[in-house]
Amino acid sequence: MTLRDYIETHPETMQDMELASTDRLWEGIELLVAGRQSAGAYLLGYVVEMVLKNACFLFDGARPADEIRPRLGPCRSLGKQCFPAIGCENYHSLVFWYHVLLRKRYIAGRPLPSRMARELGRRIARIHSMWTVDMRYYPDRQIHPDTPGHIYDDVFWIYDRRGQLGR
Amino acid sequence: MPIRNRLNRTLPPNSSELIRMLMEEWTKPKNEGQPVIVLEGGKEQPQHIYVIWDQWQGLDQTQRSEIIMDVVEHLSGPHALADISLVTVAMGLTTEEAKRLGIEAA
Repeated sequence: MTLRDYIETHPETMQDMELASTDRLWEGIELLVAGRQSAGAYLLGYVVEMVLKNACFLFDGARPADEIRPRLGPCRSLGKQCFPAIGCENYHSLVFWYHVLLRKRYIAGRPLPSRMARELGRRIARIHSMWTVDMRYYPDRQIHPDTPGHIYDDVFWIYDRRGQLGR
Repeated sequence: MPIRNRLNRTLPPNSSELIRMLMEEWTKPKNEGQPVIVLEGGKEQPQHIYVIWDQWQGLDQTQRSEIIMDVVEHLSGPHALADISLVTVAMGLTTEEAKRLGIEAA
């Protein structure tokens, strides 16, 4: 079975996404270390996207074998209702997922500790300014020299706290 | 059997038409047939919505989820859900897919 056949017949699950976030993290770091900064930053942005999605769905009670996609529509509706000015960018916007997570926790009466929410927000805003899925169409020279260092620092900070975000 | 020189391509279902049909079923449910709408949970608990419908064929799960939520967002009066923010799953399944997952309306 080819990779395409596998992906088309196996909807991605929570567990897939969690494992993929770890794979992309180490691949992204290796690329950064090898001097492939654009490709490294590109992969690391996805790590944050997956960590945030995972936290949102975990907080909703998703289990490891649960499919991810049926959970996307309700998050889009939540965004339209609670923070309509923030687009989901085809479900890739880190700022969108940050707000989904904060809102879900707020509605459930279990907000993130304020210090953590602030620090997470600061780091998400910084990664958001350096990363977009569309960067794949741009040459490496568009990357700011500070990007690799900042993205490394922020992604690790978020990845290390992934367990706390969705609990 | 006649030999033909042209194929008619089946078009994927139009999402606005599906929204209209699903909205109609939600507000004026038929006694039988599809779509079958299953609401699980709710009342201050996370709510899961399943819609079993063969018209989903050709749409991916994200599109199905969005169509269901587009309908939910526009429900009003007695049909409106108490709190849309409590919906955590909106899943569209064909009969075959529902069978495979072991899901059926009680």
